[in-house]
Amino acid sequence: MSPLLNLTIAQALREMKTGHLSAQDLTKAYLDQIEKTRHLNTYITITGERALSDAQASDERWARNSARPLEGIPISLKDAFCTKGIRTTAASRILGNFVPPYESTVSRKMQEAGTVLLGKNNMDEFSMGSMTTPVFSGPTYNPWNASCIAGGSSGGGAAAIASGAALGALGTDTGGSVRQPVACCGVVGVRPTYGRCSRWGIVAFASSLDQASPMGRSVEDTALLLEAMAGHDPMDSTSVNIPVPPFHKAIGQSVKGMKIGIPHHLYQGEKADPHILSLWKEGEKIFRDAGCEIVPVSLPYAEYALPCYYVLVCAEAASNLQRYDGIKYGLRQSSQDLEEMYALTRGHGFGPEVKNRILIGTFVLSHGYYDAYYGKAQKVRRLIQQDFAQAFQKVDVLLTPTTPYPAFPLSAIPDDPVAIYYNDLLTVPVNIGNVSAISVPAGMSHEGLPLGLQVIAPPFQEERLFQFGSVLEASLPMPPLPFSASLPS
Amino acid sequence: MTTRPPTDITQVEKLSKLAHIALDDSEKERIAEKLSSVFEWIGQMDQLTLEDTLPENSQCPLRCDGPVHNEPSADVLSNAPLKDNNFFVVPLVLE
Repeated sequence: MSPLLNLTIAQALREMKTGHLSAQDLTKAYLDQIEKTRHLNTYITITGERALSDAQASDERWARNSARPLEGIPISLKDAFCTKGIRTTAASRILGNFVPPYESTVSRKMQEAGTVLLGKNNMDEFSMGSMTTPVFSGPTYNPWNASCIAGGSSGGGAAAIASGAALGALGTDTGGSVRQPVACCGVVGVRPTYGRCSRWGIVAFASSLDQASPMGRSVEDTALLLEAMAGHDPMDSTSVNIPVPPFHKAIGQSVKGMKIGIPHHLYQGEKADPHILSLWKEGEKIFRDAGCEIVPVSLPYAEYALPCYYVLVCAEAASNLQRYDGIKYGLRQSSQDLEEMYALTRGHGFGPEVKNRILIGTFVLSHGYYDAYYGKAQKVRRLIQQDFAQAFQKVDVLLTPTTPYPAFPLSAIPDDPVAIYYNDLLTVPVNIGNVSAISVPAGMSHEGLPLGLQVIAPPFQEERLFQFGSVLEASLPMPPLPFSASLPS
Repeated sequence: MTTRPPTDITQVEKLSKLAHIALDDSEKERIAEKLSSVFEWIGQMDQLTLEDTLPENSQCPLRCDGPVHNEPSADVLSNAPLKDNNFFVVPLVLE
């Protein structure tokens, strides 16, 4: 393994600035590692030639003293970001040959910040899932134990970072799709507030909740990535026109005198893993020792966040995915009849979970059921948002575990969809509550798999995520990233 | 109390027609079983009293409604599965 793979983004930038490292050498080290870890299936498309060309341009900029903020940093993108001239599949057969004629705003901003594109990461089909097990492109394997899931839906990017196959990665987080896989893979992920980043050019799942989100090896790396990603975009009217703070400056700032809220009721009782509960306690202790006041808080409606979420995302997905009709782009099954062509194309092009969710969404939006399901979920959503607003009148941030349990074996995936939805128990309230959160690696399970703690901050107060996240990171040392894993025989 | 959806095969067939998704018989059975489990679970929201609660209603900010320069037609058509000159091809709709 190349020693260059041990550098964080911040360290690599310093080395390139002082001339001790070239972007081309760094990129070659990552491309070599991608080849060595292909069996983990973290990428759908590898853009090696483009990466080397980007890296050469970056070295020229470093030589001219015109380097941009992330000049020469090799990153990867979830295959949900449209990339001009590069296949973008959303891990779906229906988009298997789709080559976008345009670039998503966030990926364009990453190019403009000087990053080098290594490729497009595996994901759950249309971001619907928490395991990264799409039928189209196959499962991503967890680098810590390749018999286990990597988490999802942005599991390809999280596993790529943990296996040394990307220095940073961008995913999307609709209900935990960045925080859950980073917790499973022992890296850091941030879900910024909805509206912090543009959604333009991201393959849509649930438009009122989707948000581009950075993943990295350290809290500081995710701060640097978010600074480059964020900002208003006229092409997305839900992106918010407010200044983007220098997030990295919050790293290491004192938290003394600040208040941490603990919503114990979200994760307790028989279903709670005692080891994760003790980790949560450890997180409390770290902040208490840092001079914080620990305050029990209640989010009484948050326990309804999961069913509320699944009504809303299925409704939005059913509406969004109507565009896949076999006419304008994507797969087409031939028929002489228009209606039959639609049905055959969509029946053949979508995988099982996507079909489930479109049918649920079609039902909850149908005449006679709209108020009983979608209308009700929108009311619950408002109550959960009020829960968070009231909690943040008393405390500065909240602390919870990120996942209810560590990554489980691919051979033990439950057949019941509700059991799988439980993966998102602690992440979904953040999205429904319209707040922001970070997941930081916090320890190892008895099975040797990573676990994460989640810090939650009020809307557009992401600096607090980096401030409090860096305290956890400094106090909870993790073993070195695995950088490889053999597949089980 | 919410009306429970009838998640039998007949209902799945109706939904698949509305959603324009062709399903084979084994898929219909599988989906009926899974939807039954999901809707039973979603029903836990029925425990809440929500008569006096307004739904979340964030308004999507509107953009100016005016003509814009669109992508060249060659780009728009570049991914079309079937095209003829500058047009998408669809199955015959009108006799």
